[in-house]
Amino acid sequence: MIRPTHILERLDNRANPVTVKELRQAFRGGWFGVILIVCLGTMICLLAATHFRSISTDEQAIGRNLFTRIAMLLQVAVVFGVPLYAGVRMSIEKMTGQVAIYYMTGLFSARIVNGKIKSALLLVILIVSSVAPFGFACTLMRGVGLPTVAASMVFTVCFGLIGCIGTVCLATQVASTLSAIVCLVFGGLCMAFLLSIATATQSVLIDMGPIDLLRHGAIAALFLMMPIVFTLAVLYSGALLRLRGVSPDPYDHANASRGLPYESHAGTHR
Amino acid sequence: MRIEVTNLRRYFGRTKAVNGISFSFDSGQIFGFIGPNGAGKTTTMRIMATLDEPTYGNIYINGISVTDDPEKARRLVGYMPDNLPTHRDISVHEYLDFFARAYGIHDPQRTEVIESIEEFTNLLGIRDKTLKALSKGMKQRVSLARALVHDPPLLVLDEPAAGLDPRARVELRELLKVLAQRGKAILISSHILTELAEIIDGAVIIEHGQMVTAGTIQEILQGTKGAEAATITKVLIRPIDDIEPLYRALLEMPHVEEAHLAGDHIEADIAGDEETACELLAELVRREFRILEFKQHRAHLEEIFMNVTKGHVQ
Repeated sequence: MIRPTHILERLDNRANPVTVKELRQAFRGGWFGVILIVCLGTMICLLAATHFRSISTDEQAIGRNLFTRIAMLLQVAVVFGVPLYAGVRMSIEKMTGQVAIYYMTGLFSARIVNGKIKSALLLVILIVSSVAPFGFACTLMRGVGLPTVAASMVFTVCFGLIGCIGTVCLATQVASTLSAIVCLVFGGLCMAFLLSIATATQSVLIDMGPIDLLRHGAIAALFLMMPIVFTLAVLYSGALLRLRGVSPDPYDHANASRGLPYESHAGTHR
Repeated sequence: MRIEVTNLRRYFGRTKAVNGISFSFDSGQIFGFIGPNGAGKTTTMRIMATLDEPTYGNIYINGISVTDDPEKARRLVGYMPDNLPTHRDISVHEYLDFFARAYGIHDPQRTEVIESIEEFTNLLGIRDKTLKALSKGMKQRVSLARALVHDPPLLVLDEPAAGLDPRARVELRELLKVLAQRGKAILISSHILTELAEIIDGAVIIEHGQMVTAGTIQEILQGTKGAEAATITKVLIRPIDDIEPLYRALLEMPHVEEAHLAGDHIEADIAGDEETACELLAELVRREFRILEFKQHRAHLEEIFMNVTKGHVQ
């Protein structure tokens, strides 16, 4: 008979090492904790304020108004905060040459990138699931239904995943301070665009409900998703190609700054 | 196990970072890799660690080529780069656990392996500390522990003693000695040549990407100008008034090529080996000179290095 501990041990052994490491770092570090606490704190304040308001008003859409605010906040945290965190972490490891050490263990580019994306996705799910009870609480008030809230959470996770794939892949291109700035500006614009799409989708979702949104917006969504998927595919392929090459030798950077011809040849492809 | 570097070349455009280096060493040996800044040490070590590819030539680790079969070769190498781990929000234990997982070591073996390495590298007391809270010496130790996780037969250590305080350097030296006794081949680069001299069995000296000399310390001593310094013998005598008769006596001895008074002692250049020096001392005692100190001055690694290199940086 297979014992649960054996199953857990087997799962633990099969886990992507990068995912495990990233999650440990996220929980130990302050950044993710701050996002979570700010999210939950704001939710509690919003819920409390709405509760007191509901006593003194007959407003029919009070639950809907509250959920709109919750969804907005959640999107900022999930579509902007977590991808930014994941991207910064990847770029730091790339710039400090730590990724090169990973190669020695037999971890290859796809496993490194996938591990980073998986860990970011898990953080997204964690934030969404911690905020979800507040969203579902809105259905007890007026103006928003359970399917809308559930669909909104799923959409948020999907947009969060898109953001995480984009930033992690983009961060693999970072090799110097200049490229970091370029990636940050480009990534920031892309995330702002993604956030605006996510907000618009949520707004339409809350107005129309999930069934009507799917019925009327499926073709529009398909057209919208095609360039996004294409961009992600390009970024992912670029990340795999970039990480296949051995990262620059720290000495080469030092030499390059003295004007020696190391920089253009730093890193070979394997 | 034998590590063979054969005619290794690595060019970056017009710059010949490594230009025809060949040397070899075996299990249980600690080999020093010495050269001025920009000589090509790190490039060679990175090629050995399969993190870079040579333009020409090859490195064989137990017959496995690092260029033809890098996946197999890198399993045999534990590489400690000169830059320290930069992961801030991770404990020592978690850091080692990550690398053990990455090497495919599964639980429960993984836990045992990490604990034994933590014990060996004296990290048990700080295993729950985050890396950002560690001193440079501790981080170096963590880096060494990381290189040992998969128990590689070859260790490539790039400047492991850089920036360490004397105690940490001594501890590192002792660790390396134990590792060599356990049969690991160790290639170590360092600028602290006095430290290196105490642990290495042989050395490779490179400059300008080219090999200047390689071999065991004895071989290097015999093959370089530095060997001249090895025959200098310092003689101290009491009472100090007898130094003049001793000086004259030394000049008359057959194996003494040159001697000169240097304050309270005499420095004599003896043609011959240790046996000759023993005979010379016995003769002086027979002549009733009261010898306080008779010391053969061996050439330091630093002297050899200064003699054979010109200090050019690419």
